Amino acid sequence: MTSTSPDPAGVPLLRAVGLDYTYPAGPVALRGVNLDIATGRRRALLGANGSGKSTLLLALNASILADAGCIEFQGEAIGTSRRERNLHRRRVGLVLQDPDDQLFSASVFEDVSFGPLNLGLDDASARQRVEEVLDQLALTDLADRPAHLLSFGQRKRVAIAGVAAMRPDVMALDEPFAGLDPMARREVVDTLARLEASGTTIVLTTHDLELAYAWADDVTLLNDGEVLADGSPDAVLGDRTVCERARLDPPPIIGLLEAAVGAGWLTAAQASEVRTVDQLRQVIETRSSGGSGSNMEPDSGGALRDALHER
Amino acid sequence: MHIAEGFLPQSHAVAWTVASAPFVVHGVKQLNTQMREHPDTRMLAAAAGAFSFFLSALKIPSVTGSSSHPTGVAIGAVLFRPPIMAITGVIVLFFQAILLAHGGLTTLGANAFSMAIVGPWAGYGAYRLVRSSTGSLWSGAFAAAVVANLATYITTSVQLGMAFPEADGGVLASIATFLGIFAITQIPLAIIEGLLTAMVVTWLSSYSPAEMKELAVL
Amino acid sequence: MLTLDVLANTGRLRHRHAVEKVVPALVLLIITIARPAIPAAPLVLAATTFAAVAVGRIPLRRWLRALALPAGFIASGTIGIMLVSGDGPGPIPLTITEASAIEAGRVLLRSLAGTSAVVLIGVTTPMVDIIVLLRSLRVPAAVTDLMTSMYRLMFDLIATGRQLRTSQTARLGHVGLRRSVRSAGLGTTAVFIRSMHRAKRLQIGLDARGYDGELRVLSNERPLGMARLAIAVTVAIAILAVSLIWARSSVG
Repeated sequence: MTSTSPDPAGVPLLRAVGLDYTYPAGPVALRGVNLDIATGRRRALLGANGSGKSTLLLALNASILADAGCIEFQGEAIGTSRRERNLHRRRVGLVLQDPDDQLFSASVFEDVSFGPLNLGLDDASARQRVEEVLDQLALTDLADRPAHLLSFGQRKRVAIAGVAAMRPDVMALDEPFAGLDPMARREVVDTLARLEASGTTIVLTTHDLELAYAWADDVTLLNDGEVLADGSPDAVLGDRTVCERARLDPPPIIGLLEAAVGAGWLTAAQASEVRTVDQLRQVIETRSSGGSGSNMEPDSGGALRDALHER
Repeated sequence: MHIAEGFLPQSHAVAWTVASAPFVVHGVKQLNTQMREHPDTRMLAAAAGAFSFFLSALKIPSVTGSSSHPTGVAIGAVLFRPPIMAITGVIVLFFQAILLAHGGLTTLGANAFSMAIVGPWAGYGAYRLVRSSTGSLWSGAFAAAVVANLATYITTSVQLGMAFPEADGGVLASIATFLGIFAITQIPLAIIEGLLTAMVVTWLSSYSPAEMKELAVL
Repeated sequence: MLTLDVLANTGRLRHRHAVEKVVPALVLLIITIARPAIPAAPLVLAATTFAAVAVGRIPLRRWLRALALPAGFIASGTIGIMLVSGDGPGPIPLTITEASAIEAGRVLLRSLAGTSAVVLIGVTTPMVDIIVLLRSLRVPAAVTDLMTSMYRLMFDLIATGRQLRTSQTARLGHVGLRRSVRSAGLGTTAVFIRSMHRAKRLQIGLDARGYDGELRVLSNERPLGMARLAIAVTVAIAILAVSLIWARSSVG
């Protein structure tokens, strides 16, 4: 377990500098993309289909080589040699969107052991690592199930475990929530939280702005291979024009919060604590049952925060 | 044309296993070389094998109204070459025995001989011959499947005939009997699989030329 | 998805060491092939049925159904043994003699018994464990790796194939032989292309986890129950003994 330490000033954990990339005989995928990922900060890359977010993930893990620009890890640029790229991939893990693209072995245990053995761990340490990760991600029960008898959500979590077993500093996940039912989605969110608890910084792509708004510390909005906006979820997703340009609908929670603040139900400070519709309902219910309005005092923010984090 | 488990007497089971062994060992050597020289084709080889199993589990239309299974031998031989088919074919037969109860373990050697060795080589030979003489991919693939199917069916009949010689006519009479009985289903099947194979190979060459170049078919 | 595979992976004996299941089944199989069909084949059938249903708790109906499909193949195969050349009642110069009928019956019995031993492996032993066993028997890594990946990919392709067929049938693609062949060809082509693309993306996934040309993995370890193995093998040997005594008494 490594504790999250703030990065040295001006040197983010992982950085993309002026990335350009065009697929061979294909469309331009990235145009001058800059991105800073700080240790311990949840980063969501947002954009419509074909906006370049998945390509950006592949570049962050050195799975593709940008035509121009570079990737820096803790301030050091990653070279193009196979050796340097492989070294980088140990620090930045990549989870593909479709778990069936990643699970090559039929057995969960075997698949998860693949990465640790490639790190050069001996059999005993690798076995221990696999058991640890399966335990950490609550997958121990599935260890000897063949992959084709797992549900899609379970396969997704196993694919995450296969990368987590390499203990990367950063984990890059392509659309980890796509195609999941609400329960499976919560399980993946929970899986990510468990990884963060052990010191992994998460960057992911998603279409699900509602979820991104609730989950992320920082969001990056991409459109047509370019960064349209970068900042806090409130700043980026609250900007209707930017969202429209990115061909995305801003999450309904933002409009609801605006309305709630406008109606005087919440202060702006309280609204900034609310991330989901569920939380908003809770707050409104607390307020109407409290009656007196005393919980509308500005200093009640702390209590509200506690209530929210308890869920 | 699988010979079911328990069909062959032990001496025949052992003999066909011994006969298949050198081809399979050669296939394993080829596979080893390919994995060493082109480690990035590992998953391609696996996909090829999985595809062969898929074909054998696939129902294809049959004239009798019921459906039947293609051998997939010809597509494999044309796309991946006979030596690799020898080993992937044995694995497919093993999977079929355990997962589908189709074929068997003691008959694995005999089935490998007809379906992973004779069929692919005959089909591949026919493909090369017809392709180079007519210049047509369609005809080459059609010929490959028809010949591979017929060669497999003849081999199986010979294997069964040798195992069950008739009291009067002996081995030859028995082979003739098996050939005659299987002809009812196998000849129409060979033609249908020929059409299917020709379609698949020509469609692939127009939809997926990159993959076909990689496999050196085009 | 494949019945035997599902039974093996969900059954009561799935956590048992593969050797405990595969070795007794193979001994039964060898006895079936090596000894005369009577009395070995019925005894083997009884033993495999007992092992699957009483020990493995596989519902009797599922066990019988698992045997029914290969039984159909076996029965049709024995027709060729039963018919011999000669003047028959019909226009075809084939006939059935008493000897050929008995021979066909023997093969039918032996084949059913042998198949039941193989199906016993199929319904009790997950393929992953069988591959682990092959690996420990020094089957070359190139082969076991290929088996692992093929096994993994097969199910994906079968599922895709089934969905394609459903969607084709829903659009009347399987009405009539001609259209049926064409649809089957299109479906097969689509599955092939998909398998190639899948292979490429799997390779990206492997590379992202530090693939260096070798596919090294660790398997789940299972303890080997020597006592259980001994009991199972003893039952098999007992069948062999009965068969030997039977042979001697019928000679004498």
